[in-house]
Amino acid sequence: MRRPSILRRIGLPLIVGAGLLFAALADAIVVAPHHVFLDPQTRSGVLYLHNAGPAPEEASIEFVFGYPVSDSVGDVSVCLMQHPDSTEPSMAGWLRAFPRRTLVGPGETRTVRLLLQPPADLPEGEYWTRAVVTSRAARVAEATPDTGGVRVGLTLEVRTVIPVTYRKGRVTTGAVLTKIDHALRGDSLSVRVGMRRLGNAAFLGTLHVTLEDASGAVVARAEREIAIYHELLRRLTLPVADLPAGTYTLRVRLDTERSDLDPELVLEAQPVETTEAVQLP
Amino acid sequence: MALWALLVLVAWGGPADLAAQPGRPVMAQGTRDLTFGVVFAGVPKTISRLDPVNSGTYRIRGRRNAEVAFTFTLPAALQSGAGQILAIEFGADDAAFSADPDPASAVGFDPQAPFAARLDGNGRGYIWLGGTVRPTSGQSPGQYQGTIVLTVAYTGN
Repeated sequence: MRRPSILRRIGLPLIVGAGLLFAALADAIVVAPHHVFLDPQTRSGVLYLHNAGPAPEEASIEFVFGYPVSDSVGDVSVCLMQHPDSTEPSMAGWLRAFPRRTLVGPGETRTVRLLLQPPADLPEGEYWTRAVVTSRAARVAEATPDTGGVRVGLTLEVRTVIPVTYRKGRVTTGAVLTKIDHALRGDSLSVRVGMRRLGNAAFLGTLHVTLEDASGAVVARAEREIAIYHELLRRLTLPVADLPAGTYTLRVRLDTERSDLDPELVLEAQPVETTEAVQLP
Repeated sequence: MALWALLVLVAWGGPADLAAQPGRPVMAQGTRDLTFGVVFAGVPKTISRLDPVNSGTYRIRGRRNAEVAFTFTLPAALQSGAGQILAIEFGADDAAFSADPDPASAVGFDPQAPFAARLDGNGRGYIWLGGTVRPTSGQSPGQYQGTIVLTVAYTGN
């Protein structure tokens, strides 16, 4: 390492070459399907890992309990819990992936089989976990040229989180609206909707919010796919800048329509709907 | 079945029951290095998320108009093979999301907190990431490494 000492001797600053490496076009593992429902008879399921990138990818699978949660303003994140409360219907500890790690070549698809081994006396109900698929570019160690500086590299990893659901026996779901409020924010109407799940299974559905004028015509709308595992608060915004002043009807509807899920796997429930008057200045 | 799912089946040659779920999976892909280039011992260097050449970028693909939750797991320091440490920081505005590939239209967010955003009508989104490295005045030469993890999930499932 002669060069650093030479640099120091001649008074030049130490050169720190800091290239943080996001491997270009790496980490392109596609995980499908986006929601796994285990077969109730065989207690098994399948995940497919497809490498859409040009380089080999290492992928690993683990199971962590979790579900979407909301904060006080209605923003949602997916909360993963390594040690969930014992009252939670977690199956993270009973689910195995085969294989747990795999190398996926460019353009290749790997099949990962999921097998659930629950206790024999498992009560009826719906059980949840999340499959966390971590992918990273399979890298070959390279000899570092002796430049006398410092090279810095960050390995980029992507974790894709997929819900896994198992239903045993009779399961039902439903939801109630627990709170609705609205407020003008600039040129938008911000609407917050609180919801609580009924039954013993998650409510997978769609929240529709519309604004209707005096004739009943819809003048603004927003909708959001939602998953209520316990309680959820969602915030949606409606554009109202171009609407004349007056009284409108805010309609909030919650149903189990989902275009992204096999209808046979979506538990149906009675739609819930309510309206309230909104005054726009 | 969604057209996308059909195309995936054809492109992947995957098993038929892959079509059991019609929704498009979410995918994140790192598409550009976050590059600090040459820095000097004792002199911090910041790369803005708006830097058109050196900021890190991700491309997100998924279901049309779907909301996706993003969580970064960021290192506080990078380590060399000899055990030396190089500090790295990410500020409250060092990440940004946009459904448009133009970073100027992106909404900034704190990469140290969870963030959710909607993909556009074609199921597309982009994330930019900047940061700051803080080499000490006596920073030792070496190869410093660390890992950035981006976790992605649909919020509606």
